[in-house]
Amino acid sequence: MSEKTLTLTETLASLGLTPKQIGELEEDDERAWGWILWLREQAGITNPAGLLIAKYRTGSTAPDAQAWRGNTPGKGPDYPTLLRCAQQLVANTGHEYREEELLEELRRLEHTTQIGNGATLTEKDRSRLLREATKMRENHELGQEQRDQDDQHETLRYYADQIRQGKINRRNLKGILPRLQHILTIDQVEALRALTAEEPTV
Amino acid sequence: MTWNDLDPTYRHLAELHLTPKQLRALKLSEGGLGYRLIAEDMGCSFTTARYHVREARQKMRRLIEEAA
Repeated sequence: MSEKTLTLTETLASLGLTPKQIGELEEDDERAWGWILWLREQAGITNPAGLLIAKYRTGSTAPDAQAWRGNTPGKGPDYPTLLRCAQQLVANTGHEYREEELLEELRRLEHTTQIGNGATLTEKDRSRLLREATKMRENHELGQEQRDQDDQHETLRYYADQIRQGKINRRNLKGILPRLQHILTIDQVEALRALTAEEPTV
Repeated sequence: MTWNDLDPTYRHLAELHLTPKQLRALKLSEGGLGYRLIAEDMGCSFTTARYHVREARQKMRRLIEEAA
C-alpha cells in the first residue's frame, strides 16, 4: 500500500498533526494506521487531522478498510463493499464517477492486492461490478433528470397561475414567450399560449 | 464554438449573459436531448452538462422575471 512508503510520522505530519499529536498516535501505530486508512476512504472530510485524532482517542479500532476483500473462507470478494470502496476511491480523486474511472480503479486494485482468501479480481468480477455500478449511475441520473423535469412543470404552473391571476396578459406573454421557449417544452409553451388565448377581451 | 457559429436566433441570448457552453447546452436540451446525450455531444460529463443547462435556465428565468 502506497501509504506504507511513508513512515507513520511522515504520514501524520503530512496530515498537519503537531509533533505532540504525532507522539500520541505513535503509541499505538497499528491502530493509528487503521484510522488513517479508514480516513482515506471517507468522502467530504474537511478536517482530516481533527477527525483522525478524535477517532483515535475513542480507543476503538478502525473498521476494516480492506473489508471488500471478503473474509469468508472459500468465497470471493464482498461485492457490495468492493463496489462501495471503489466508488469512494473514485469520488475521493475529485472526479465525477464514471465507468471508465471505476474500471481503472478496479484494475489498480487488481494489481495491488489479492482479494482476501486468495481469490483474485477476475474479468468476470470486474464485469459484474461495472454492471452494478452502471445501473446505480443510471438510476442516479434518471433521478436528476426527473427532478429537473419537475422544475419545468413547476415553472409552467407558476406562469399559468400568473396568467390566470391577470398578472401576465397576452401582450406581456408575447414579450416573454421567446424566452420561455428556452426553459419549457414546446407543449408547455403551447399550454401557456392557449391560456392567454382564453383571456376575456377587455 | 465561436459567435459566428451561433444560430442567429440564439444571438440575442448570448447578449443576455449566457456563455457559449450554456447556449449550446440549452439548445441541445431544447432539441429534446437528455443530459447524457448533451454530455456526449459537448464532450463533458453528465454533471457538467446538467450544470450548463440549469445555469442557462436559471439565467433565463431571471430575465423572464424582469420582463414579465
